[in-house]
Amino acid sequence: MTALLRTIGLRKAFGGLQVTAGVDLDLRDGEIHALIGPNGAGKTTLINQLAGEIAPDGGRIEFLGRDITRRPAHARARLGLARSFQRTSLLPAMTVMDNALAAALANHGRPWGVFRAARRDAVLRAAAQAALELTGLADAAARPVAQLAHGQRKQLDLALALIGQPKVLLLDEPTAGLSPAEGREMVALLENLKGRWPMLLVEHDMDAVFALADTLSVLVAGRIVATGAPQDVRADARAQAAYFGDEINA
Amino acid sequence: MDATLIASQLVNGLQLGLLLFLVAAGLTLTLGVLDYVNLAHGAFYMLGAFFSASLLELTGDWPLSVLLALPLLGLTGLITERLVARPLYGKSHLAQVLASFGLLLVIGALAMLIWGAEGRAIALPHALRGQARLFGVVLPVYRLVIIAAALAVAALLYVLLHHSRFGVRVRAAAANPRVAQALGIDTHRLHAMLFALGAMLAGLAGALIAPITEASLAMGAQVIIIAFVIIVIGGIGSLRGAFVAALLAGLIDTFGRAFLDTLLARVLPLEAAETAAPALSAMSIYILMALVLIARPRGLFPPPARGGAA
Repeated sequence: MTALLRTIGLRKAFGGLQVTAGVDLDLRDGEIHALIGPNGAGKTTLINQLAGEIAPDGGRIEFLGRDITRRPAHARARLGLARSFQRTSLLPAMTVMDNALAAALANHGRPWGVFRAARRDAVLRAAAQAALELTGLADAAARPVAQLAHGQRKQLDLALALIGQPKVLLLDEPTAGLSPAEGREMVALLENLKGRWPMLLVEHDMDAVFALADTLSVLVAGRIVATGAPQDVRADARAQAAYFGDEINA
Repeated sequence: MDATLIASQLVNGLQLGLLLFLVAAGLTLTLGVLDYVNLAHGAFYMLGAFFSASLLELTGDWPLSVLLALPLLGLTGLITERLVARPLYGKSHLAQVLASFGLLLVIGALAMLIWGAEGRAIALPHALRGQARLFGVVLPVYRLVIIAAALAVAALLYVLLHHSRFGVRVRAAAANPRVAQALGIDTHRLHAMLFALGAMLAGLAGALIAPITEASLAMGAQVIIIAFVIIVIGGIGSLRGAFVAALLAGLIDTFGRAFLDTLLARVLPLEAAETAAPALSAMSIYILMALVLIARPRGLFPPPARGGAA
Protein backbone atom coordinates (compact mmCIF):
# COMPACT_ATOMS: atom_id res chain seq x y z
CA MET A 1 0.00 0.00 0.00
CA THR A 2 1.17 3.53 -0.73
CA ALA A 3 1.64 6.14 1.96
CA LEU A 4 -0.97 8.92 2.00
CA LEU A 5 1.06 10.97 4.39
CA ARG A 6 4.81 10.69 4.68
CA THR A 7 7.60 12.53 6.41
CA ILE A 8 11.17 12.23 5.21
CA GLY A 9 13.99 13.23 7.54
CA LEU A 10 11.85 15.80 9.32
CA ARG A 11 13.79 18.01 11.72
CA LYS A 12 12.82 20.77 14.12
CA ALA A 13 14.74 22.39 16.98
CA PHE A 14 13.61 24.90 19.55
CA GLY A 15 16.76 26.74 20.58
CA GLY A 16 19.30 24.02 21.26
CA LEU A 17 16.67 21.34 21.83
CA GLN A 18 16.17 18.96 18.91
CA VAL A 19 12.46 18.16 19.22
CA THR A 20 12.11 16.39 15.88
CA ALA A 21 15.38 14.67 15.01
CA GLY A 22 15.01 13.17 11.55
CA VAL A 23 11.59 11.54 11.60
CA ASP A 24 10.54 9.19 8.77
CA LEU A 25 6.91 8.24 9.14
CA ASP A 26 4.39 6.67 6.75
CA LEU A 27 0.62 6.66 7.10
CA ARG A 28 -0.89 4.16 4.68
CA ASP A 29 -4.38 4.13 3.27
CA GLY A 30 -7.02 2.64 5.54
CA GLU A 31 -4.82 2.25 8.59
CA ILE A 32 -4.68 3.74 12.04
CA HIS A 33 -1.10 4.60 12.83
CA ALA A 34 -0.58 5.33 16.52
CA LEU A 35 2.28 7.44 17.76
CA ILE A 36 3.31 6.94 21.36
CA GLY A 37 6.15 8.18 23.48
CA PRO A 38 6.94 9.71 26.84
CA ASN A 39 6.05 13.31 27.65
CA GLY A 40 8.38 15.69 25.87
CA ALA A 41 9.17 13.19 23.11
CA GLY A 42 7.93 15.69 20.50
CA LYS A 43 4.60 14.10 19.55
CA THR A 44 2.56 17.30 19.52
CA THR A 45 5.38 19.18 17.77
CA LEU A 46 5.32 16.52 15.07
CA ILE A 47 1.54 16.76 14.67
CA ASN A 48 1.80 20.55 14.52
CA GLN A 49 4.38 20.30 11.72
CA LEU A 50 2.15 17.88 9.82
CA ALA A 51 -0.81 20.21 10.21
CA GLY A 52 1.23 23.23 9.13
CA GLU A 53 1.22 25.22 12.34
CA ILE A 54 4.97 24.92 12.84
CA ALA A 55 7.48 25.06 10.00
CA PRO A 56 10.11 22.30 10.13
CA ASP A 57 13.81 23.21 9.94
CA GLY A 58 14.54 20.44 7.47
CA GLY A 59 13.15 17.38 5.75
CA ARG A 60 9.95 16.96 3.78
CA ILE A 61 6.27 16.28 4.30
CA GLU A 62 4.34 14.63 1.48
CA PHE A 63 0.58 14.33 1.37
CA LEU A 64 -1.16 12.45 -1.45
CA GLY A 65 2.17 12.42 -3.28
CA ARG A 66 2.60 16.19 -3.10
CA ASP A 67 5.24 18.10 -1.19
CA ILE A 68 3.30 20.16 1.36
CA THR A 69 6.25 21.10 3.58
CA ARG A 70 5.81 24.83 2.97
CA ARG A 71 2.04 24.96 2.67
CA PRO A 72 0.08 26.90 5.31
CA ALA A 73 -2.32 25.12 7.66
CA HIS A 74 -5.53 26.20 5.92
CA ALA A 75 -4.24 25.01 2.53
CA ARG A 76 -3.42 21.56 3.99
CA ALA A 77 -6.91 21.41 5.51
CA ARG A 78 -8.35 22.18 2.09
CA LEU A 79 -6.31 19.38 0.54
CA GLY A 80 -7.97 16.99 2.99
CA LEU A 81 -5.60 16.84 5.94
CA ALA A 82 -7.86 17.36 8.96
CA ARG A 83 -6.76 17.56 12.57
CA SER A 84 -8.25 17.56 16.01
CA PHE A 85 -6.92 19.37 19.05
CA GLN A 86 -6.46 18.30 22.65
CA ARG A 87 -8.95 20.89 23.87
CA THR A 88 -11.08 23.01 21.60
CA SER A 89 -14.26 24.79 21.02
CA LEU A 90 -14.88 26.67 17.81
CA LEU A 91 -17.73 28.95 18.85
CA PRO A 92 -18.41 28.13 22.50
CA ALA A 93 -21.41 30.44 22.81
CA MET A 94 -23.26 28.76 19.93
CA THR A 95 -25.02 25.42 19.56
CA VAL A 96 -23.46 22.16 18.44
CA MET A 97 -25.29 22.39 15.11
CA ASP A 98 -24.19 25.98 14.50
CA ASN A 99 -20.59 24.96 15.15
CA ALA A 100 -20.96 22.10 12.70
CA LEU A 101 -22.53 24.45 10.13
CA ALA A 102 -19.72 26.95 10.64
CA ALA A 103 -17.20 24.17 10.00
CA ALA A 104 -19.13 23.09 6.92
CA LEU A 105 -19.10 26.70 5.69
CA ALA A 106 -15.39 27.02 6.37
CA ASN A 107 -14.83 24.16 3.97
CA HIS A 108 -17.14 25.60 1.40
CA GLY A 109 -15.73 27.48 -1.55
CA ARG A 110 -18.13 30.39 -1.78
CA PRO A 111 -17.22 33.08 0.73
CA TRP A 112 -20.36 35.20 0.40
CA GLY A 113 -23.95 34.52 1.19
CA VAL A 114 -26.09 34.62 4.23
CA PHE A 115 -25.62 32.60 7.40
CA ARG A 116 -29.36 32.36 7.97
CA ALA A 117 -29.49 30.68 4.62
CA ALA A 118 -26.77 28.31 5.77
CA ARG A 119 -29.18 27.02 8.39
CA ARG A 120 -31.49 26.04 5.57
CA ASP A 121 -28.82 25.05 3.04
CA ALA A 122 -29.53 21.37 2.48
CA VAL A 123 -26.00 20.43 1.44
CA LEU A 124 -24.31 22.08 4.40
CA ARG A 125 -26.93 20.79 6.78
CA ALA A 126 -26.59 17.25 5.52
CA ALA A 127 -22.80 17.37 5.93
CA ALA A 128 -23.15 18.76 9.45
CA GLN A 129 -25.83 16.27 10.41
CA ALA A 130 -23.86 13.31 9.05
CA ALA A 131 -20.76 14.28 11.03
CA LEU A 132 -22.80 14.72 14.22
CA GLU A 133 -24.38 11.29 13.73
CA LEU A 134 -21.02 9.63 13.13
CA THR A 135 -19.72 11.09 16.36
CA GLY A 136 -22.79 10.35 18.48
CA LEU A 137 -23.85 13.96 18.83
CA ALA A 138 -27.07 13.99 16.82
CA ASP A 139 -29.15 14.24 19.99
CA ALA A 140 -27.09 17.15 21.31
CA ALA A 141 -27.35 19.24 18.11
CA ALA A 142 -29.44 22.00 19.68
CA ARG A 143 -27.39 22.35 22.86
CA PRO A 144 -24.93 25.20 23.41
CA VAL A 145 -21.34 23.96 23.27
CA ALA A 146 -20.60 25.59 26.63
CA GLN A 147 -23.02 23.14 28.28
CA LEU A 148 -21.47 19.98 26.85
CA ALA A 149 -19.64 17.45 28.99
CA HIS A 150 -15.93 17.13 28.28
CA GLY A 151 -16.37 13.88 26.38
CA GLN A 152 -19.00 15.43 24.13
CA ARG A 153 -16.73 18.36 23.40
CA LYS A 154 -14.10 15.94 22.17
CA GLN A 155 -16.73 14.23 20.05
CA LEU A 156 -17.64 17.62 18.60
CA ASP A 157 -13.98 18.27 17.89
CA LEU A 158 -13.89 15.02 15.93
CA ALA A 159 -17.13 15.95 14.16
CA LEU A 160 -15.69 19.30 13.03
CA ALA A 161 -12.64 17.52 11.61
CA LEU A 162 -14.84 15.05 9.70
CA ILE A 163 -17.18 17.59 8.13
CA GLY A 164 -14.93 18.49 5.21
CA GLN A 165 -14.70 14.81 4.16
CA PRO A 166 -10.93 14.77 4.75
CA LYS A 167 -8.55 12.19 3.29
CA VAL A 168 -6.56 11.83 6.51
CA LEU A 169 -7.26 12.57 10.17
CA LEU A 170 -4.58 13.74 12.60
CA LEU A 171 -5.86 13.10 16.11
CA ASP A 172 -4.04 14.61 19.07
CA GLU A 173 -4.92 12.62 22.20
CA PRO A 174 -8.62 12.05 21.58
CA THR A 175 -9.09 10.35 24.96
CA ALA A 176 -7.03 12.80 27.05
CA GLY A 177 -8.89 14.04 30.10
CA LEU A 178 -11.86 11.72 29.57
CA SER A 179 -13.41 9.51 32.22
CA PRO A 180 -12.91 5.75 31.66
CA ALA A 181 -16.47 5.44 30.34
CA GLU A 182 -16.08 8.45 28.02
CA GLY A 183 -12.74 7.06 26.88
CA ARG A 184 -14.31 3.73 25.95
CA GLU A 185 -17.02 5.55 24.03
CA MET A 186 -14.40 7.54 22.10
CA VAL A 187 -12.48 4.36 21.27
CA ALA A 188 -15.72 2.77 20.02
CA LEU A 189 -16.39 5.83 17.85
CA LEU A 190 -12.91 5.70 16.35
CA GLU A 191 -13.22 1.94 15.73
CA ASN A 192 -16.39 2.68 13.85
CA LEU A 193 -14.56 5.26 11.68
CA LYS A 194 -11.65 2.93 11.04
CA GLY A 195 -11.27 1.96 7.40
CA ARG A 196 -13.17 5.04 6.23
CA TRP A 197 -10.57 7.51 7.43
CA PRO A 198 -6.87 6.78 7.76
CA MET A 199 -5.72 8.26 11.05
CA LEU A 200 -2.48 9.29 12.66
CA LEU A 201 -3.23 9.02 16.34
CA VAL A 202 -1.21 10.45 19.21
CA GLU A 203 -2.40 8.70 22.31
CA HIS A 204 -1.33 8.02 25.89
CA ASP A 205 -3.90 5.40 26.76
CA MET A 206 -2.33 2.02 25.88
CA ASP A 207 -5.67 0.20 25.91
CA ALA A 208 -6.93 2.63 23.27
CA VAL A 209 -3.74 2.25 21.24
CA PHE A 210 -3.87 -1.55 21.21
CA ALA A 211 -7.59 -1.55 20.47
CA LEU A 212 -7.22 0.76 17.47
CA ALA A 213 -3.78 0.79 15.91
CA ASP A 214 -2.66 -1.19 12.86
CA THR A 215 0.79 0.32 13.07
CA LEU A 216 2.54 1.63 16.14
CA SER A 217 5.51 3.98 16.24
CA VAL A 218 7.41 4.94 19.35
CA LEU A 219 8.87 8.44 19.47
CA VAL A 220 11.63 9.10 22.00
CA ALA A 221 13.55 12.37 22.15
CA GLY A 222 12.47 13.33 18.65
CA ARG A 223 13.36 10.00 17.01
CA ILE A 224 11.25 7.03 15.98
CA VAL A 225 12.89 4.18 17.91
CA ALA A 226 10.49 1.44 16.85
CA THR A 227 7.75 1.06 14.28
CA GLY A 228 5.62 -1.89 13.15
CA ALA A 229 2.62 -3.98 14.12
CA PRO A 230 1.57 -3.23 17.72
CA GLN A 231 2.36 -6.74 18.99
CA ASP A 232 5.84 -6.66 17.46
CA VAL A 233 6.58 -3.24 18.86
CA ARG A 234 5.39 -4.34 22.27
CA ALA A 235 8.03 -7.02 22.12
CA ASP A 236 10.71 -4.63 20.98
CA ALA A 237 13.23 -4.22 23.74
CA ARG A 238 14.17 -0.64 23.00
CA ALA A 239 10.60 0.44 23.05
CA GLN A 240 9.99 -1.38 26.27
CA ALA A 241 12.90 0.36 27.89
CA ALA A 242 11.93 3.73 26.56
CA TYR A 243 8.26 3.69 27.14
CA PHE A 244 6.47 0.66 28.46
CA GLY A 245 8.91 0.24 31.31
CA ASP A 246 7.12 -0.80 34.46
CA GLU A 247 3.82 -1.41 32.73
CA ILE A 248 5.26 -4.34 30.76
CA ASN A 249 7.39 -5.68 33.54
CA ALA A 250 4.67 -5.53 36.16
CA MET B 1 -34.01 76.19 25.13
CA ASP B 2 -36.58 75.80 22.43
CA ALA B 3 -37.55 72.66 20.59
CA THR B 4 -35.85 73.71 17.35
CA LEU B 5 -32.52 74.15 19.08
CA ILE B 6 -32.82 70.80 20.82
CA ALA B 7 -33.80 69.08 17.58
CA SER B 8 -30.93 70.56 15.65
CA GLN B 9 -28.47 69.64 18.41
CA LEU B 10 -29.93 66.13 18.40
CA VAL B 11 -29.18 65.89 14.68
CA ASN B 12 -25.67 67.22 15.24
CA GLY B 13 -25.11 64.73 18.04
CA LEU B 14 -26.38 61.80 15.98
CA GLN B 15 -24.27 62.83 13.03
CA LEU B 16 -21.15 63.09 15.18
CA GLY B 17 -21.93 59.83 16.95
CA LEU B 18 -22.46 57.90 13.72
CA LEU B 19 -19.23 59.16 12.19
CA LEU B 20 -17.42 58.21 15.38
CA PHE B 21 -19.01 54.78 15.05
CA LEU B 22 -17.56 54.32 11.57
CA VAL B 23 -14.10 55.09 12.94
CA ALA B 24 -14.55 53.01 16.10
CA ALA B 25 -15.97 50.00 14.20
CA GLY B 26 -12.72 49.33 12.35
CA LEU B 27 -10.73 49.88 15.52
CA THR B 28 -12.81 47.51 17.61
CA LEU B 29 -12.65 44.84 14.90
CA THR B 30 -8.86 45.00 14.57
CA LEU B 31 -8.41 45.04 18.33
CA GLY B 32 -11.12 42.48 19.08
CA VAL B 33 -10.43 40.00 16.29
CA LEU B 34 -6.76 40.56 15.46
CA ASP B 35 -5.73 41.69 18.97
CA TYR B 36 -3.82 44.49 17.26
CA VAL B 37 -3.66 48.03 18.68
CA ASN B 38 -3.75 50.33 15.68
CA LEU B 39 -2.95 53.96 16.49
CA ALA B 40 -2.55 54.54 12.76
CA HIS B 41 -6.29 53.99 12.37
CA GLY B 42 -6.70 57.78 12.71
CA ALA B 43 -4.51 58.20 9.63
CA PHE B 44 -7.10 56.32 7.53
CA TYR B 45 -9.71 58.85 8.70
CA MET B 46 -7.44 61.72 7.63
CA LEU B 47 -6.57 60.03 4.32
CA GLY B 48 -10.26 59.55 3.58
CA ALA B 49 -10.71 63.33 3.79
CA PHE B 50 -7.67 64.13 1.61
CA PHE B 51 -8.35 61.37 -0.94
CA SER B 52 -11.86 62.65 -1.46
CA ALA B 53 -10.60 66.25 -1.64
CA SER B 54 -8.13 65.36 -4.41
CA LEU B 55 -10.62 63.16 -6.21
CA LEU B 56 -13.13 66.01 -6.10
CA GLU B 57 -10.57 68.28 -7.79
CA LEU B 58 -10.04 65.59 -10.45
CA THR B 59 -13.61 64.60 -11.10
CA GLY B 60 -15.64 67.60 -9.96
CA ASP B 61 -18.24 65.17 -8.67
CA TRP B 62 -18.54 64.99 -4.88
CA PRO B 63 -20.43 61.67 -4.41
CA LEU B 64 -18.08 60.06 -6.94
CA SER B 65 -15.05 61.41 -5.05
CA VAL B 66 -16.24 59.72 -1.85
CA LEU B 67 -16.97 56.42 -3.62
CA LEU B 68 -13.62 56.41 -5.42
CA ALA B 69 -11.78 57.13 -2.17
CA LEU B 70 -13.01 53.82 -0.71
CA PRO B 71 -10.97 51.40 -2.87
CA LEU B 72 -7.90 53.61 -2.36
CA LEU B 73 -8.43 53.37 1.38
CA GLY B 74 -8.89 49.62 1.20
CA LEU B 75 -5.63 49.36 -0.72
CA THR B 76 -3.87 51.56 1.87
CA GLY B 77 -5.26 49.28 4.56
CA LEU B 78 -4.00 46.15 2.76
CA ILE B 79 -0.52 47.61 2.32
CA THR B 80 -0.18 48.75 5.94
CA GLU B 81 -1.55 45.43 7.19
CA ARG B 82 1.03 43.50 5.18
CA LEU B 83 3.99 45.74 5.99
CA VAL B 84 3.36 46.87 9.56
CA ALA B 85 0.51 45.04 11.29
CA ARG B 86 0.96 41.41 10.20
CA PRO B 87 4.53 40.98 11.52
CA LEU B 88 3.25 42.22 14.90
CA TYR B 89 0.20 39.99 15.42
CA GLY B 90 0.67 38.09 18.64
CA LYS B 91 3.43 40.44 19.77
CA SER B 92 3.17 42.74 22.80
CA HIS B 93 0.73 45.62 22.64
CA LEU B 94 3.59 48.01 23.36
CA ALA B 95 5.38 46.91 20.17
CA GLN B 96 2.14 47.41 18.23
CA VAL B 97 1.59 50.85 19.76
CA LEU B 98 5.13 51.95 18.87
CA ALA B 99 4.91 50.63 15.31
CA SER B 100 1.46 51.98 14.60
CA PHE B 101 2.28 55.36 16.18
CA GLY B 102 5.35 55.48 13.97
CA LEU B 103 3.15 54.68 10.99
CA LEU B 104 0.77 57.48 12.01
CA LEU B 105 3.71 59.93 11.93
CA VAL B 106 4.97 58.59 8.60
CA ILE B 107 1.57 58.84 6.96
CA GLY B 108 1.16 62.33 8.43
CA ALA B 109 4.51 63.40 6.99
CA LEU B 110 3.70 61.89 3.58
CA ALA B 111 0.34 63.64 3.62
CA MET B 112 2.07 66.94 4.34
CA LEU B 113 4.41 66.38 1.36
CA ILE B 114 1.52 65.56 -0.92
CA TRP B 115 -1.17 67.98 0.22
CA GLY B 116 0.84 70.62 2.14
CA ALA B 117 0.40 71.83 5.68
CA GLU B 118 -2.77 73.74 4.87
CA GLY B 119 -6.09 72.00 5.08
CA ARG B 120 -8.29 71.42 2.05
CA ALA B 121 -11.79 72.79 2.06
CA ILE B 122 -14.36 70.69 0.23
CA ALA B 123 -17.23 72.37 -1.51
CA LEU B 124 -20.45 70.39 -1.46
CA PRO B 125 -22.79 70.32 -4.41
CA HIS B 126 -25.44 72.99 -4.22
CA ALA B 127 -28.24 70.54 -3.45
CA LEU B 128 -26.55 69.40 -0.25
CA ARG B 129 -25.81 72.85 1.10
CA GLY B 130 -29.35 73.90 1.93
CA GLN B 131 -31.76 73.35 4.74
CA ALA B 132 -34.62 70.91 4.89
CA ARG B 133 -37.77 71.04 6.95
CA LEU B 134 -38.28 67.79 8.86
CA PHE B 135 -41.10 67.36 11.42
CA GLY B 136 -41.50 71.15 11.46
CA VAL B 137 -37.84 71.78 12.23
CA VAL B 138 -35.38 73.32 9.79
CA LEU B 139 -32.23 71.20 9.56
CA PRO B 140 -29.09 71.22 7.39
CA VAL B 141 -29.51 68.74 4.54
CA TYR B 142 -25.92 67.57 4.62
CA ARG B 143 -26.08 66.44 8.25
CA LEU B 144 -29.13 64.36 7.40
CA VAL B 145 -27.22 62.88 4.45
CA ILE B 146 -24.37 61.89 6.77
CA ILE B 147 -26.80 60.27 9.21
CA ALA B 148 -28.53 58.30 6.45
CA ALA B 149 -25.25 57.18 4.85
CA ALA B 150 -23.69 56.15 8.15
CA LEU B 151 -26.81 54.27 9.25
CA ALA B 152 -26.87 52.42 5.92
CA VAL B 153 -23.22 51.46 6.30
CA ALA B 154 -23.81 50.36 9.91
CA ALA B 155 -26.68 48.14 8.73
CA LEU B 156 -24.54 46.67 5.94
CA LEU B 157 -21.78 45.98 8.42
CA TYR B 158 -24.23 44.23 10.74
CA VAL B 159 -25.49 41.99 7.94
CA LEU B 160 -21.94 41.30 6.78
CA LEU B 161 -20.71 40.24 10.20
CA HIS B 162 -23.79 38.50 11.58
CA HIS B 163 -25.52 37.02 8.57
CA SER B 164 -22.88 36.30 5.97
CA ARG B 165 -20.43 33.49 5.47
CA PHE B 166 -17.67 36.05 5.74
CA GLY B 167 -19.04 36.88 9.19
CA VAL B 168 -19.10 33.23 10.24
CA ARG B 169 -15.45 32.94 9.25
CA VAL B 170 -14.56 36.14 11.07
CA ARG B 171 -16.25 34.93 14.22
CA ALA B 172 -14.68 31.51 13.99
CA ALA B 173 -11.26 33.06 13.43
CA ALA B 174 -11.83 35.46 16.33
CA ALA B 175 -13.04 32.77 18.72
CA ASN B 176 -10.41 30.22 17.83
CA PRO B 177 -7.83 31.00 15.15
CA ARG B 178 -6.06 27.61 15.28
CA VAL B 179 -9.24 25.62 14.85
CA ALA B 180 -10.38 28.00 12.13
CA GLN B 181 -7.15 27.35 10.21
CA ALA B 182 -7.44 23.62 10.76
CA LEU B 183 -10.89 23.82 9.17
CA GLY B 184 -9.46 25.44 6.05
CA ILE B 185 -10.03 29.13 6.79
CA ASP B 186 -7.22 31.32 5.47
CA THR B 187 -6.94 33.50 8.57
CA HIS B 188 -4.17 35.67 7.07
CA ARG B 189 -6.39 36.67 4.21
CA LEU B 190 -9.34 37.16 6.51
CA HIS B 191 -7.28 39.43 8.77
CA ALA B 192 -6.11 41.48 5.78
CA MET B 193 -9.70 41.86 4.58
CA LEU B 194 -10.89 42.95 8.03
CA PHE B 195 -8.06 45.45 8.27
CA ALA B 196 -8.91 46.88 4.86
CA LEU B 197 -12.58 47.03 5.83
CA GLY B 198 -11.68 49.02 8.96
CA ALA B 199 -9.56 51.42 6.91
CA MET B 200 -12.43 51.96 4.47
CA LEU B 201 -14.90 52.66 7.29
CA ALA B 202 -12.60 55.17 8.99
CA GLY B 203 -11.78 56.79 5.66
CA LEU B 204 -15.46 57.05 4.78
CA ALA B 205 -16.04 58.91 8.06
CA GLY B 206 -13.15 61.26 7.20
CA ALA B 207 -14.49 61.86 3.70
CA LEU B 208 -17.98 62.57 5.05
CA ILE B 209 -16.85 65.00 7.76
CA ALA B 210 -14.41 66.91 5.52
CA PRO B 211 -17.04 69.17 3.86
CA ILE B 212 -17.98 70.39 7.36
CA THR B 213 -14.55 70.70 8.95
CA GLU B 214 -12.20 70.60 5.92
CA ALA B 215 -9.49 67.99 5.44
CA SER B 216 -6.61 68.66 7.84
CA LEU B 217 -3.44 66.91 8.95
CA ALA B 218 -4.45 67.04 12.61
CA MET B 219 -7.80 65.31 12.23
CA GLY B 220 -6.40 61.76 12.50
CA ALA B 221 -4.71 62.30 15.84
CA GLN B 222 -7.82 64.02 17.19
CA VAL B 223 -10.22 61.25 16.30
CA ILE B 224 -8.13 58.27 17.38
CA ILE B 225 -8.27 59.06 21.11
CA ILE B 226 -12.05 59.47 21.09
CA ALA B 227 -12.36 56.27 19.05
CA PHE B 228 -10.37 54.36 21.67
CA VAL B 229 -12.54 55.80 24.45
CA ILE B 230 -15.61 54.63 22.53
CA ILE B 231 -14.45 51.06 22.03
CA VAL B 232 -13.45 50.83 25.71
CA ILE B 233 -16.90 52.06 26.75
CA GLY B 234 -18.63 49.69 24.32
CA GLY B 235 -16.50 46.66 25.14
CA ILE B 236 -13.47 45.87 22.99
CA GLY B 237 -14.42 43.72 20.02
CA SER B 238 -18.12 44.50 20.23
CA LEU B 239 -19.64 46.21 17.21
CA ARG B 240 -22.92 46.75 19.04
CA GLY B 241 -21.02 48.25 21.96
CA ALA B 242 -19.14 50.58 19.63
CA PHE B 243 -22.44 51.69 18.08
CA VAL B 244 -24.12 52.47 21.41
CA ALA B 245 -21.02 54.10 22.88
CA ALA B 246 -20.38 56.22 19.77
CA LEU B 247 -23.95 57.55 19.80
CA LEU B 248 -23.68 58.26 23.53
CA ALA B 249 -20.39 60.06 23.02
CA GLY B 250 -21.72 62.07 20.08
CA LEU B 251 -24.85 63.14 21.94
CA ILE B 252 -23.17 63.88 25.26
CA ASP B 253 -20.44 65.89 23.59
CA THR B 254 -22.85 67.91 21.45
CA PHE B 255 -25.41 68.54 24.18
CA GLY B 256 -22.67 69.36 26.67
CA ARG B 257 -21.25 72.05 24.43
CA ALA B 258 -24.67 73.44 23.59
CA PHE B 259 -26.52 73.41 26.88
CA LEU B 260 -24.21 72.82 29.82
CA ASP B 261 -23.55 76.54 30.44
CA THR B 262 -27.28 77.33 30.59
CA LEU B 263 -27.92 74.38 32.90
CA LEU B 264 -25.04 75.25 35.20
CA ALA B 265 -26.11 78.89 35.33
CA ARG B 266 -29.21 77.80 37.19
CA VAL B 267 -27.16 76.51 40.12
CA LEU B 268 -23.94 78.53 39.79
CA PRO B 269 -23.14 82.24 39.33
CA LEU B 270 -23.17 83.05 35.60
CA GLU B 271 -19.44 83.68 35.38
CA ALA B 272 -18.55 80.41 37.12
CA ALA B 273 -20.97 78.50 34.90
CA GLU B 274 -19.46 79.97 31.74
CA THR B 275 -15.98 78.96 32.88
CA ALA B 276 -16.89 75.48 34.08
CA ALA B 277 -19.15 74.42 31.21
CA PRO B 278 -16.57 74.17 28.37
CA ALA B 279 -14.14 72.39 30.68
CA LEU B 280 -16.77 69.92 31.81
CA SER B 281 -18.13 69.24 28.35
CA ALA B 282 -14.61 68.61 27.05
CA MET B 283 -14.25 66.01 29.81
CA SER B 284 -17.70 64.55 29.44
CA ILE B 285 -16.89 61.42 27.44
CA TYR B 286 -13.91 60.63 29.66
CA ILE B 287 -16.19 60.95 32.68
CA LEU B 288 -18.62 58.60 30.92
CA MET B 289 -15.80 56.12 30.32
CA ALA B 290 -14.75 56.25 33.99
CA LEU B 291 -18.33 55.68 35.15
CA VAL B 292 -18.88 52.78 32.74
CA LEU B 293 -15.62 51.14 33.74
CA ILE B 294 -16.50 51.38 37.42
CA ALA B 295 -19.81 49.61 36.82
CA ARG B 296 -18.70 47.30 33.99
CA PRO B 297 -14.93 46.90 33.79
CA ARG B 298 -15.11 45.13 30.39
CA GLY B 299 -17.39 47.76 28.85
CA LEU B 300 -21.09 47.82 28.05
CA PHE B 301 -21.19 44.81 25.71
CA PRO B 302 -18.13 42.65 26.27
CA PRO B 303 -17.91 39.94 23.59
CA PRO B 304 -17.66 36.32 24.73
CA ALA B 305 -14.21 35.15 25.73
CA ARG B 306 -12.01 33.34 23.22
CA GLY B 307 -12.15 29.57 23.10
CA GLY B 308 -8.93 27.71 23.76
CA ALA B 309 -7.11 25.13 21.71
CA ALA B 310 -4.22 22.99 22.85
